[in-house]
Amino acid sequence: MKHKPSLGIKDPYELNSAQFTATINLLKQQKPLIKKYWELASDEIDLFKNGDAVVGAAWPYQTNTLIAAKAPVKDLVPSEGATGWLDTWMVSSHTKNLPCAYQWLAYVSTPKVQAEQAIYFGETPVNSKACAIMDTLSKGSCAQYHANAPLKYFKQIYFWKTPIAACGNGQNNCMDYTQWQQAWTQLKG
Amino acid sequence: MAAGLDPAQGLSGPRRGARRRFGGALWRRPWLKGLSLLGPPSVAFIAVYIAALAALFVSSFWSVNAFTGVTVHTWSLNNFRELWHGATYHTVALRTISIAAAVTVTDAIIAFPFAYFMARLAGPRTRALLFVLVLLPLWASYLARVYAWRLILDHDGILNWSLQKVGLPAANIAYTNTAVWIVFSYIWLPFMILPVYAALERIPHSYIEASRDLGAKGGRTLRSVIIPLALPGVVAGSIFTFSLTLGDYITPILVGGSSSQFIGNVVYDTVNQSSNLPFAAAYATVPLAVMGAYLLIARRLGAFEAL
Repeated sequence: MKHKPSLGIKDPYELNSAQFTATINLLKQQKPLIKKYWELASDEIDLFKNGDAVVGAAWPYQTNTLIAAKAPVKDLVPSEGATGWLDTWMVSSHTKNLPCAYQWLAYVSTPKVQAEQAIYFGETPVNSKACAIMDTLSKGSCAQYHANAPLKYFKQIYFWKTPIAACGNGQNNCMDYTQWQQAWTQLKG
Repeated sequence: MAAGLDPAQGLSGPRRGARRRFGGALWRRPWLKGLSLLGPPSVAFIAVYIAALAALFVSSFWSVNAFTGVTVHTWSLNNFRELWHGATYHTVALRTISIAAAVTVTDAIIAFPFAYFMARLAGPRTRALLFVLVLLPLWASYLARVYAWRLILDHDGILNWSLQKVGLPAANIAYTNTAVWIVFSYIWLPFMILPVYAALERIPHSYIEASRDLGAKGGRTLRSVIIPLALPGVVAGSIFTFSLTLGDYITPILVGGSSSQFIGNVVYDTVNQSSNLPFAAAYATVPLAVMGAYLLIARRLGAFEAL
């Protein structure tokens, strides 16, 4: 998006064949630098702790755990931006207790629950009112998890959406999730 | 015949008669006895084991709708075609089989002298102690043992620390296929030692004496008497080490590097990330076929008599 504007990528999850191939080729080119495609967050923490890795994509959880273990690490959002993930609650369409489900969703959105979950799980709360409660639960945790970050901060994060054939521009030639999955399997080899 | 039934059981007339008739029928027809003994376990075996394998095989011909993720029950060879033409799947299968073979050979080389010492040289107390040492790791969690190896092999781990102490350069085996090979060889070693021990223990001492009487020195006796007689044990052990490595996917995740995928990892990802159960089933038939061929060869080499 930033280094090769000629590819015309507008959204990292909407890639046509040429854009997708260019992306995969870059990953292939970087493979000799890779120590491990980690599967568990604890794996990445170990890799950094033991000096097997020096740079990697991470959640605040890994960084905070490593900092707490006195590992000399720091996280930042690169100038190119970063990818992100939103954890969501789902309601089954077959539920017999729809009012209950809504009450639950309302409950988990309250500042107190959001704050507790953020600290327990190591993620940023959606409800910005959770910030003050987070700081009373664990000092400085609000800033640590970017819960008080300005909108500008979140604008540079591209949150995951499942790739489908329909591109955002009305065309239908984007690579879908199955193709992403196959390319990833092939890349890991 | 009546003496066989215990009168103290106090069965009433008709029930006792029925039991007696059944006993008589079993006595007159030995095949009925065999059937009633083998029947229930066979039914369980077929229902639980063979049926699962059959379901696996059948579903490998189906496919998944890319948009809804629903299984489409139309027969096609597409999954197998994709496997046949996909270079990645060849690489992964070849890596899995090669490491399984390397682990088997390594374990055989380590296990043979160990089992020989246990079976033929050690006294009863030493032998019991060695048995405990071989079996003890099996009591600890598989995961704990793999993680322990990570502590040894890591960049700042015990191995590199020791190498540094004696002035040697650091070994970079953490998160490589070499690490996968070492850890598998360690984990499955007991499964090689035990059958080799059983085979060696069974060799009558008189054979070795006969070999000496005929003028064979130690090396010749080992080559011409002991190794041929122990071979079925080695092959029996290799069935365990080979098949256990072939089907594992946890060790490659934990100690493998950027190119350490096993067949099991691809199957796991195919089910977990793309929910493509039919394709995973198709790929899972590969180790099944490899193992089938392996067992046929093992039977030729007499491994089943040594189990």
